[in-house]
Amino acid sequence: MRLAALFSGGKDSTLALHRAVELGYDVEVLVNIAPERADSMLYHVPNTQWTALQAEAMGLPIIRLGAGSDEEAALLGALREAARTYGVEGIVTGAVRSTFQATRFQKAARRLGLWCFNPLWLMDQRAVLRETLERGFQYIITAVAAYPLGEDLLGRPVDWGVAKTLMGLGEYINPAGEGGEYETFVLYAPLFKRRLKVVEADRRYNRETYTGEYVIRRVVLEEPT
Amino acid sequence: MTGERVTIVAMPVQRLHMDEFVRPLVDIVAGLGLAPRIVHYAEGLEDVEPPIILSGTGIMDYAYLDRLDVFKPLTGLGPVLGICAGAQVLALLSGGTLIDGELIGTFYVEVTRVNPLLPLGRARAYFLATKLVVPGGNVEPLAYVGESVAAFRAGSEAYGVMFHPEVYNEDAIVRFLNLSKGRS
Repeated sequence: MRLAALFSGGKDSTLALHRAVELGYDVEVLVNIAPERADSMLYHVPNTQWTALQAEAMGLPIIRLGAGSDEEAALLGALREAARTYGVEGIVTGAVRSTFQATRFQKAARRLGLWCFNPLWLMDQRAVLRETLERGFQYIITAVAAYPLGEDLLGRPVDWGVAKTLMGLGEYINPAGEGGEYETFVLYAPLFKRRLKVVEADRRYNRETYTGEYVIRRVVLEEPT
Repeated sequence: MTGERVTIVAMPVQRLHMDEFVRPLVDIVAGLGLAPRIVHYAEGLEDVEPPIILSGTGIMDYAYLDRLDVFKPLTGLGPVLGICAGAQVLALLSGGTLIDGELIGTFYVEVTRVNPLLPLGRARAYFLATKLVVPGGNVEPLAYVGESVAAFRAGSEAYGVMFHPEVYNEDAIVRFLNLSKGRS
C-alpha cells in the first residue's frame, strides 16, 4: 500500500515511518504542516522548515504547507495533494497518546477515503524512547516547555543518559514528550542516506516558564560516518 | 487470575494496524499478569478458549463483515468482549444490525443499565466507528452516546463496546476479565 507519512521532523513521526517501511508499506511522500501558532496542539512547532532537508536525506519528496489560520484545512489540502500526485491510499502518523491529534488525523483520512495508521498508538512512552535509540536514531531536543526541563537540554543529543533522565521525570512529564513537554529533531535514522549536521543555532530560554527553543539557523547534509 | 490465558482475536487486515489495535490490548492483559494469546480471525476460531477479546480495527477495514461465519464458534462459548469492530460482529451474530454513521473522537457515554463492566452514569470514551449498532434479537443496550448504542450485552456473557476502552476505560477490560476469574 502506498502511504504518505505525516512528518514533523521529530522522533515519533520518524519512528512511525520506519515501522511502516519495515512492514513493507511504500512511503511515497512526506507531509509537513508548518503551524502558525507557537502553541499548536496539532503540529510540532520549531524548525519545521528543515523537514525538507530531512526528506532530501531520505530521498523522499515532501509536501509542506503553512497551516494558516485553519490547521485542519491545511492538513486536508496537503493530503489531497498527496493522494492526487503520489497516488497514496493511506497515511501513517506518529500519534502516541493525543486523542486530539488522532481524532483530526482519522477524520481527515476518512474524508479523503484514505487509510489511517498510528503504529505508536498507546505505546509506553519509555518504550518509544528506547526503540528510537535501539534503532540508532540520532536526534536533538529543540524545544522544552515543562518543569523541570532546563536550558541545558536545548540542542542536546538524546543519548541513553538523557533518555534515562527523561524517563526518570515521569512524575512531571510524559517521558517521550507526548504532551508537548519537549520536541525533537532527527539528524539521522536508518532510512537517512545522509546525516544532517547543525552548523548554526540559537537558544532562547525563559527561566520563569521553563520554556525554550533551539532554533536551527543553518544545517548541512553530510555522508554518514 | 494471575497467569490465566486470555484470547485476543485480532481484527485488522493490515499489519500496520496490529500495533494500533491489538498491541494495546496485549499490554493491558500482560500488565495484569495474564497470558495473552493472539489469534487472527482469518486463522479460524474453532479452537479458541474464553475469556476472549475481539479487537477493533481501522475505519477503512471492513473485511471482517464478509467473514461472519468465522466468528460463529464464539457464540455461547463463555465471556467475550467485542471492541468496536468486534462489537459489530457480536451484534450481528446476536440479531442486531448495523447502520452507517460516524463516531470519531472523544464523546461522553451514558451508562443506563446495571452491568458488570461499566458503572452507571456518564463516562468519557474514545470512538473510532463508522458503522453503528442497531439493537435487535439478543442485543440489550447498556449505554448510549446520544441516540446511538455505545455498549450492549448479547446473551449472558458477551459484551460489546463501540468505543475503545484501551484509551480511557481500561477498567472495563479489567472488570470483564474478572468475570471469568476462577471459571477455569
